[in-house]
Amino acid sequence: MYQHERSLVKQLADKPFALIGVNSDGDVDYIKKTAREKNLNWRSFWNGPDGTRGPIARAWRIKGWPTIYVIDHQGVIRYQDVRGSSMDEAITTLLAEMGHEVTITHAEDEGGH
Amino acid sequence: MMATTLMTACLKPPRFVIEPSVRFDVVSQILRSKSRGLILLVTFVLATMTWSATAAAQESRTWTDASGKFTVEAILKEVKRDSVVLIMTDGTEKTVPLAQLSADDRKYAADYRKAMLAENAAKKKATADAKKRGEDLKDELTGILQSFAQSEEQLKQAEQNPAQFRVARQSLVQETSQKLIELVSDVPQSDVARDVYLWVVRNGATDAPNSTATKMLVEHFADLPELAPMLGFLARDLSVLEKLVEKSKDESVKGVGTFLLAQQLANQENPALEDRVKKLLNQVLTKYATVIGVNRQPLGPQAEKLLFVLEHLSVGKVAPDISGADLDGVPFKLSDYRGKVVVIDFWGDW
Repeated sequence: MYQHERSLVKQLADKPFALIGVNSDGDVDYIKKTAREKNLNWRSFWNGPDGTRGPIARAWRIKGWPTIYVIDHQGVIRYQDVRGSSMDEAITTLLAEMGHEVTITHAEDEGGH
Repeated sequence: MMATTLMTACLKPPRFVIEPSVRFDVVSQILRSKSRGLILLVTFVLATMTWSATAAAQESRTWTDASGKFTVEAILKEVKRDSVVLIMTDGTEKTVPLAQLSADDRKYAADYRKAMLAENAAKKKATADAKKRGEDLKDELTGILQSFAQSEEQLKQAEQNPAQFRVARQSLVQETSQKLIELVSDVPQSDVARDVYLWVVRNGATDAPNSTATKMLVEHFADLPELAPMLGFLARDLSVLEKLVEKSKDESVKGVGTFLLAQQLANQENPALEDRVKKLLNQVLTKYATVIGVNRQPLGPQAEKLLFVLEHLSVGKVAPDISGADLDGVPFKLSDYRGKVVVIDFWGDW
């Protein structure tokens, strides 16, 4: 998961694309340390000390983790729960709608999990 | 109510049956002048009111007195030891001693009485038989379930592996279900049948026994509140849910059914169904908010949640904004990224 996300963020750095996390670990110090150690290159909201019961996850009625939404440049939800190559396809489609043709590929040798 | 109005409306003061023909002519004229339908209606109303009249729908006939001089049109209502009760054409009842009737009429009354007694006896016997059969079936049901429990226990002892036990138990459930359904096939609406269908569905029988039991429960026992918590697996089919919601008079069955219907339709993620789903959810909110769902939680908050997801968190809707702080405590908003394709990832490191 981390590997795929790191790779996406890196490849699409110069495109109108962002990966925004909502982190649901109750212990913010732990997750900061993890983010540093695992070189997580995207920005996350912190869902607060209540972890999965925190305010953002509650507002979005999140039932399971991870949960993925892909929204277009106008803020409209376009895909839900896409992973791996289907997430790549979703991003490629939405960027193409904006006139950005991209090809997403992932190297096998990136570290981390 | 209706009977009272009707009778008072067409009534005359009661008169003795055997009367001079002049008097009788007046009665028969009334009979002729009023529509026959009215009289039939009176008969019908009386028939539904008095048990003895329902036993043999009596026709109107001409009664003659012992002297042969006087006649009257009337319906036989009841034969007592030494009198008959007649329903006159004006709806009143008269009791006439048998001794005053012609021989033919006495025979008619005697035959009627005999037929009635026979019919009553037959009814009593049928009731007794049905009761006995019900009790027999109940005993058989208990027997089959006991033998199921024994076999299940044996399986538990014999199979070390839980997966193997489950497979073996399942075929035992199937076999038992088939036997049970066979047992009640003649009396599908009886209490024993109800218990059988509930057992079959609750024990997770599949295929034919399951579909028979489900069909029968929906058909004959839609008002059973016990169905509500079972709906999750009882009514996987949209059509079954729709039928139950429509048929059942039970609040909890209707509520849970309506909510599950909305949930199933919502899962199809078909924008064309959105209005219907919303309508169903609003019904749940207004009528069944306190009914307990299959997850043992009240339906109201669940419906609200689903409605919110439908309106704000589904494909095609503008995502609700998020404002918060990042891991370093720096505040930011999701809408800061408007103009970009955004993947929102609810994640945790666990």
